[in-house]
Amino acid sequence: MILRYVKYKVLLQVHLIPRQTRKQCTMSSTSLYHQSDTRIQSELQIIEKSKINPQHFAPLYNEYYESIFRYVIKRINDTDLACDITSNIFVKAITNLSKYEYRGLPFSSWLFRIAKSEVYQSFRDQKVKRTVSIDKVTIVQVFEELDLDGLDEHKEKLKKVLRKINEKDLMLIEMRYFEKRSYREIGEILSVTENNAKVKTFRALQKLKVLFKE
Amino acid sequence: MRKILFNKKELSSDQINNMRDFDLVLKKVQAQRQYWRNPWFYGTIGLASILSFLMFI
Repeated sequence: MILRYVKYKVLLQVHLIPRQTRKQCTMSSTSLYHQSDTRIQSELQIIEKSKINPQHFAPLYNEYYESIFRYVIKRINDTDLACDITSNIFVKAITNLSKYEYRGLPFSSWLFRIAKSEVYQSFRDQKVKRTVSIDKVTIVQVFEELDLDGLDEHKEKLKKVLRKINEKDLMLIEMRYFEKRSYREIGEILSVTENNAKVKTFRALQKLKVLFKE
Repeated sequence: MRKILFNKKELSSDQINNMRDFDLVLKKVQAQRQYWRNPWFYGTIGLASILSFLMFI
């Protein structure tokens, strides 16, 4: 990664990369979610092979296991159950792989969509309680957005508000502020456009503000 | 009622990766792939029925 970055910087200095390619290179080196075309192509090859033989799915399983697990554990505070759910997410992904079509979205967004539905299914089945994981760093940013000062003063209030806010709004705030996802990524997971994700997140934040003032 | 966790200690990448079990996933996939969902199953049954009907005639 570091070597690739140094090589890219050197190439930039000698003006070997045109402006458009420069933009793409910067995105792929900084974003873990939005990948380069070569990586997407290699993933697609693995997917095609996995449709015939699921054993070929192993590299994708190894690559995305951690991010999917973290997504689940943040919402379900039970390691064993999170492990089971993550496993079920991949089972669902493999069994439905024939339905997967590449439409310009990264494969991970498809996995996260399955993860979202599996997590919510477990809430519906009342297997587990909904958990929201927050930390000092992430709530500071939320407080900045809400124009609030003083972490300790408002921490308890935030906890109360997060219990009150509706699930859809919580999901948006969670993905944007607690998990630091881009609007594009949120849009892809929720099957909406990037702009729509931005608008919905803004509205969710406004609702949070109103609840905070109550 | 939601549970709000503040500054919960996160699992390390190694701990998470130790939980990976692709073989278990494959076993579950195999268990879910029911043979009666396979078009070959109906093809074989259909062909056998036709052949046995023709032999009966």
